[in-house]
Amino acid sequence: MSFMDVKNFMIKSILDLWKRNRDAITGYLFIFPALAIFIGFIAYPFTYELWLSFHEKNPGLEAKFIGLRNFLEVISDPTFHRVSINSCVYTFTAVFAKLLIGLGMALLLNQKFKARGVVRALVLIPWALPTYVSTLAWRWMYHHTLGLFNYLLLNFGIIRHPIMWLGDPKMAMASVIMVNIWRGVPFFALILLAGLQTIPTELYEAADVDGANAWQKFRYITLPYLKYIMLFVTLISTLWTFNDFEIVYLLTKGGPVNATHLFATYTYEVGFIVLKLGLAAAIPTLLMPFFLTLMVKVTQLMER
Amino acid sequence: MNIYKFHTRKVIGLLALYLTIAMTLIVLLLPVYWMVVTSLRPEEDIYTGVKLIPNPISFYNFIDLFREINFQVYVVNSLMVASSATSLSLIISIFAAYSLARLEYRGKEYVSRILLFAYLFPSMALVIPLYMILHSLGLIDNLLGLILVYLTFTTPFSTWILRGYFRSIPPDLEEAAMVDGCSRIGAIFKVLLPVAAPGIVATTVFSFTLSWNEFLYALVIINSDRFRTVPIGILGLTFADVYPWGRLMAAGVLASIPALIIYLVMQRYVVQGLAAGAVKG
Repeated sequence: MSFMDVKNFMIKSILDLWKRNRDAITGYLFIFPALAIFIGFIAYPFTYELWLSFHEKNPGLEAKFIGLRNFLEVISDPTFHRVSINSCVYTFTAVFAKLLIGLGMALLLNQKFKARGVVRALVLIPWALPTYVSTLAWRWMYHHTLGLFNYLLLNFGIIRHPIMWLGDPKMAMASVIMVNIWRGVPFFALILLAGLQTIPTELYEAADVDGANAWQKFRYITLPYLKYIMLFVTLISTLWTFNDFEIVYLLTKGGPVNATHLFATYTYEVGFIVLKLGLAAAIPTLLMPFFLTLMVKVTQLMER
Repeated sequence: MNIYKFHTRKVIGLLALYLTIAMTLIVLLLPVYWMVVTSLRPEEDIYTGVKLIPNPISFYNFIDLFREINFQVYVVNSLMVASSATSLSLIISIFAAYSLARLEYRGKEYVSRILLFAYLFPSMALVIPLYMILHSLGLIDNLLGLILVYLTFTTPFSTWILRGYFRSIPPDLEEAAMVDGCSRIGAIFKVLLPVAAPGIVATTVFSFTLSWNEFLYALVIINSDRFRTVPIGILGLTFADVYPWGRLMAAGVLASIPALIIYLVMQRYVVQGLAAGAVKG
């Protein structure tokens, strides 16, 4: 076989491969840039983070392997214990409240009333605003002496002394949770409303014929229909609320005395203020099993 | 008698319904109202106490943002970052979504799952390594660095939404165009995209707002004043513990305008986007 034969054979087989697998090859080519972003900006950084959490790393210095010491330091750190409790209280209270209020609001928006379209659009506003903007507005309303809340409550005679919304450790957590609920409720309401609209009205008509009351209709028709969408919105919101940063960072910076510090704000503080990057990397690494479980679950629900 | 009773019950029910709606709207819109009211009060007037309606009204808080602080610089930076991240990710996702919606190959279901995963990936688990990677590339305090980071959420998000749109469009038209000698790229741009225009617009809008509203990465990556995007610029209005509330709220109003206009115009698509988790709730 001469050189030319080999060359022709190779060209022919490449052409053959292309003809037989045209779709697949185009498919891989088209998806490649998106995958490259995933690999370069998510998979690689994430691996880097895992690596970092086994190292001591300060800016400008070489990373030093220290085994599990970062993890030991994190789990024996009293502030981290406080932060873990805070994050759980913050997430579970906020998500639960958003689910309940969101469901109520979805049922409300599903009623027939005048200007329903306008109301549905207005309800979205807290969710459409940039979070940092609305959080600053809340911070201003929470102001001890000049804030709207204390003004209204004092004038209506509900309280006698101004409340330290953000300065009192006991009050601060409730105040940051309020903002998260306010911001997240439209999301829950509109997703659940979309779910409500897929329920066939014949079911309710049949229930009316059978003499079912409003509660029975809700319990045996509405709830079962909304089951998966409720699960979806709860899980995705749990994931996001656990990852929440802006509200606490802008309202309290985690204070007073760590009373509102969450995983994200604490990671930021350890990493970018205390400048212990390895130690900071260990915090999300420790949480990863939890995050991954939630992500897998949400992915399954989104693919349904 | 019975008819009368029935009527009263109905009226009370309607009254309760409208009252609940009104209360809900008041609670949801109060912070927005308060932001606008404060932005219209002169700074020295703000410290005299609470006023439910601004009197006197002044626009100096807005004017000062441009005269004394370089707010226009922040706006331009934000526009540049958000539009670059949006258009780059749009191009990448059109091809990725086409690949997922129209072509058959091995491992496709894993790829689509990976992209969904990428979208859900918590930013707190990425912020430290991304910072260090950008640092080693010399892209800290650089708008290009910020654009690259924003691709981590705009690309998977746009791909996911567009995949859904493309799937809802029957492939017959593109196939016919390709039989008539149109190339695949030609079929995508001349046949598929015009039909999918509403989806493209919605995706663009959502990516843009996601980038326009982003806070954490901008906080970590940008240091110098001339590269600040709007959120970080607004944060820079505060000195230590002094908050110039009039200016802050004026800046907040300006920062909200793009998002609000977009949502009111795009309301039809909002729920679809919501279902895919356009903005974190």
